[in-house]
Amino acid sequence: MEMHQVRYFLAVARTLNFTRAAEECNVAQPSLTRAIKLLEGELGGDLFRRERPRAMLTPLGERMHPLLKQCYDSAQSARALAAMINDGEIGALKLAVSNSIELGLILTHVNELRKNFSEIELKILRGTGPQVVEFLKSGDAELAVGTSIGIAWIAGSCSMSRSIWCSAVLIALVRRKRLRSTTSSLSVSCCAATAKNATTLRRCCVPRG
Amino acid sequence: MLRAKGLNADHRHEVSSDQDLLALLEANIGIGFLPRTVNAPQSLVRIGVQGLELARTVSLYGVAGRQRTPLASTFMKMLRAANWPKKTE
Repeated sequence: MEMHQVRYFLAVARTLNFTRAAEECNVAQPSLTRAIKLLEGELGGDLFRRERPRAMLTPLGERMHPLLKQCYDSAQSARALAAMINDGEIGALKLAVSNSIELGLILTHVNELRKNFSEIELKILRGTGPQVVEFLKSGDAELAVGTSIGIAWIAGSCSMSRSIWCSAVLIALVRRKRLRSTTSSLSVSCCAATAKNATTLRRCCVPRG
Repeated sequence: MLRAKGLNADHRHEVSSDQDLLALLEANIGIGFLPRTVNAPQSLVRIGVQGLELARTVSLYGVAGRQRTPLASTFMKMLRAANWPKKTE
């Protein structure tokens, strides 16, 4: 059974006229008639009663109609879905992210991507440097994000391209109660003192302004 | 990295996850260094350290020569084109 035969059958069932069905399908009527005959031969009986100029569905045709329509609709859906996947409108973005990288760094860009590809699915894999390399090699991830130090380069076994795109700045975090409210920054020596006790930290804070 | 900047603490703690580090800080155990984009709880305060400009380079990796999906290609272009901060705080 060919899909074009099913399409011709559905057109005749809809228009109840072989000539109009042929016009609708952009095909010569003899070709459409021949295709319907082949389909009838495969299904073992007439699908239409030819009553010129009309064509009526036979009981076999009526029983076959919903099944063949479902078959055609499924094929159409499959074709449309394949086109969307090939165009990148639907699909998964598979990212491996090193444990040391905070996801917030790339989330803005993920959201931006979703504006153009609304149906995307995210797959984010976390791991150590060597694990991230394995995710890339196995194809579990297409892209990876990590620090140049964190990602272990395995010479000869995996050729990887790298593009440097960001310099992430580290800042100090400290418990709010340990600082005076006027503190704007700390000195290096003050940082070292924090391990000892809070009093030292409060004493060596640099006042704001 | 910190030692190279002249920061020699007598006691150091090591953790392998940001969540653990934040928990230690909230428990009033020392001071920590984290990426600027990390969401810190209200009980913690972000603060710069004079003379200590810490930065690390984050890179995007892909297997060379392997065909990428349109999604991955677009994402890669977006990240490359982004206006990333160089070394500011």
